[in-house]
Amino acid sequence: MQTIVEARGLVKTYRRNDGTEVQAVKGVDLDIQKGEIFSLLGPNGAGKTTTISMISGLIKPTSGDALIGGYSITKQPLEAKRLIGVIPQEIALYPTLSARANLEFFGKMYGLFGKELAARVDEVLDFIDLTDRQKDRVDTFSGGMKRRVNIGVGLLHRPQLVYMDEPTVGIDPQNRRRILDTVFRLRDEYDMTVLYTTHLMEEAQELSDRVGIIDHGDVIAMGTQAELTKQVGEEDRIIISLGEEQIEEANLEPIRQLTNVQSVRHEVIRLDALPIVENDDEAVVDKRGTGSMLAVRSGQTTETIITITALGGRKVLSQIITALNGIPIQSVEVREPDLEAVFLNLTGRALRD
Amino acid sequence: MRKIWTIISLDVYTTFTDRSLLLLMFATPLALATIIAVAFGDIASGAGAPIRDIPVALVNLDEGDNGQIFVDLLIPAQNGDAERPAPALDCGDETPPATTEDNILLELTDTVLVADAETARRQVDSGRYSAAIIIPPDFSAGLEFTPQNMNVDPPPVEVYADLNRPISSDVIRSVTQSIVNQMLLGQIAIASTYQTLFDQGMAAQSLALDPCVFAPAFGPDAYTVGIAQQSIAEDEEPLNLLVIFGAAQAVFFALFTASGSAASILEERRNGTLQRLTVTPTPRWQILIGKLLSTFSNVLLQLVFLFIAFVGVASALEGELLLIWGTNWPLIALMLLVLSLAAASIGMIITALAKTAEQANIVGSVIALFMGAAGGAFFQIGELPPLFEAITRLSIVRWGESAFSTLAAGSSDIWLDAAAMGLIGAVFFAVSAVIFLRREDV
Repeated sequence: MQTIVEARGLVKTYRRNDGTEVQAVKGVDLDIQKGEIFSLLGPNGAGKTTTISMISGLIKPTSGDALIGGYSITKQPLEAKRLIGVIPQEIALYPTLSARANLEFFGKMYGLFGKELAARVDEVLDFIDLTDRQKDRVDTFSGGMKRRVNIGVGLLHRPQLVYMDEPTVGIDPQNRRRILDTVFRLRDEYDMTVLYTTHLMEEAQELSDRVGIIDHGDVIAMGTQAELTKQVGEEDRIIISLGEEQIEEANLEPIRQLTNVQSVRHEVIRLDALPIVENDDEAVVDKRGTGSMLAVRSGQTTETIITITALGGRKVLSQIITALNGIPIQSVEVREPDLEAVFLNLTGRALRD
Repeated sequence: MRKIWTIISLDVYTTFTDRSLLLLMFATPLALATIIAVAFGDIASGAGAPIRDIPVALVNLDEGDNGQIFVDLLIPAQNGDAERPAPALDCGDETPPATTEDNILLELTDTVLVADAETARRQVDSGRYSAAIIIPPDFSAGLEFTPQNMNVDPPPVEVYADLNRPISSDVIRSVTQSIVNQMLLGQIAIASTYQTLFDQGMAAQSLALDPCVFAPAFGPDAYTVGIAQQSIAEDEEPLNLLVIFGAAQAVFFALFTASGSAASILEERRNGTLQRLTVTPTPRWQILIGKLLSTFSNVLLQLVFLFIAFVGVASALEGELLLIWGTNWPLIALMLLVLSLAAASIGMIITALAKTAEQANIVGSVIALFMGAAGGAFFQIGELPPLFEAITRLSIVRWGESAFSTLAAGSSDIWLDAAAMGLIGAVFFAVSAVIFLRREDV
């Protein structure tokens, strides 16, 4: 396969106000093949956006370089940028302009004018399904519609490579689904390569042909999902929710003594500190940081979660419940090896941490 | 180039479709300038506080006695004033002393004797004095007559005035004219008397050689010069003030536009659209030039509209088309261009140094208010002390008002104003462009 992105030794160092330096990205190497969906998965603050900003030419790397379709982003930025369509995490549109005016303006900045511009704008409006609202001001749109225009701007010039920086953050499940479907369409119908950043394991798992896991500014693993999960062996993860019930570390000791149990950890999640996203009829909380939505009602503010890794998780489940010695359980979930487990295995932390 | 034009078009469109912004850019300065001009116009015409203490430089180069009459009339006598020459007509009790109480000219002007004409002119140029009265060396000689030649034809007294202070200048011009006329009348009266006596065969020489006989004609009481004698037509007052306050208000509000328009770069950074522009295949310098020029364009369009609108207001007040800025179109266009450049560049340098749009807006407003106050957007700066007058030169509002007042008065001597604003504009534009290019976050 042909490589479209070839990043070598990308480093970005920022200077703090007190004069000290902080390295946001520490020598990232990336190879992305043409026509694939590549996800950069990592927790918030891992360096995903900084990496993508350097590859898109938004910020200059402190050192290192990236070749986009053979063009150096530092030495031939204009040539490289012609191949890239960037879809930022935040809505980056002019709110007082119409959807069409926004597309026309950015189209011109991509060098499209006249009939070609008009045709591309029509095509994109059709793709994002906003032809009938094209003359309305963007500030009259719903969040999902704004997202669609935001995506459309990045596709106007038919880029070979599309960067999507956490495009589903803060939106409802319906629009999230729509965006994920769009990613597949870009690859399958338009033969585009997609570089997708996310902190949501489910999204990376569903979308990606290959995944790069990034943490603390380093790409710590890269490959297909099968290749990555192979690294963590055959262990299942058992996730037990105790609701607001508080426990001591000593309560977990009997579980640790069980055969096949590899690790046991527990944590208390503050639900009121997690981001709230809009839904049609009720407020929901991204409780696990994994995309699974649980409704929070009647003032529940904390949730105690026990995470156990064990060989043949389903077989030891009954022993684990017995070992909890009557502590009330709200829910139990058994997960086969996934990217979350890979991250946990590599860093000792969950993605949400 | 097309991309730069695209950026300019977007910014201008965004600005000129924002209704609240349009109110601030156009309706407010138009209304304020008109109200201030009309209000001050009433004051100047005598309904309110009188005009007084106009700073005047008096240069008496006269080799005879008549120039001293100006000194006696315009400068109050002080006890122990050793340097002051004796009165022109020292006739003892017959010549009434000039006092503040009975000589309105002493209240009207604050006159200072200056040794030479060049110094006086220079100090008028610098704004220290509103006008200089320069009495030529042969002034008295021109007033003299002989039995052989009864013609009285003195050389003209020069009034060198600051056109930026049209009211004060006109007052001093009228006062000078009145004094000279009074002298001419006196001299003609003496000559007529002399001629009559001569015709009657009397020994006129004994009378003519004693000017004290005619002293009452030269006493301060004889000079009935007052504000009522000024040659400022009442119906011209609002128009002159509309020029002054209109120009000052236009530049003052242009500073707000410049500051807000330039700060939009930082707002775009916050909204993410600047980053989005940066990842397009557009050189960074083109984006920055586009933003700089869009600020300039917004200010230029605002000024052009306001200056046309002020013509409309003046014409409406006058009842006929009145081109209050004069008809020197090339220089009017030049001034609008350099003024827009200067205002836009001040907005750009503030934005270049600010961290956030809010910070840029606050600093921009403070600077605009300072320049507006110092530059005469709210009151006539011509009547201020010399030190404050010097401070006003820091304001482009002052430079703009000065240039357009000059053009309105029919003069084309605006090169200093144009050069000052052009220099401010060029330097600040260049510096802000360099700062922007070095800023990684913009």
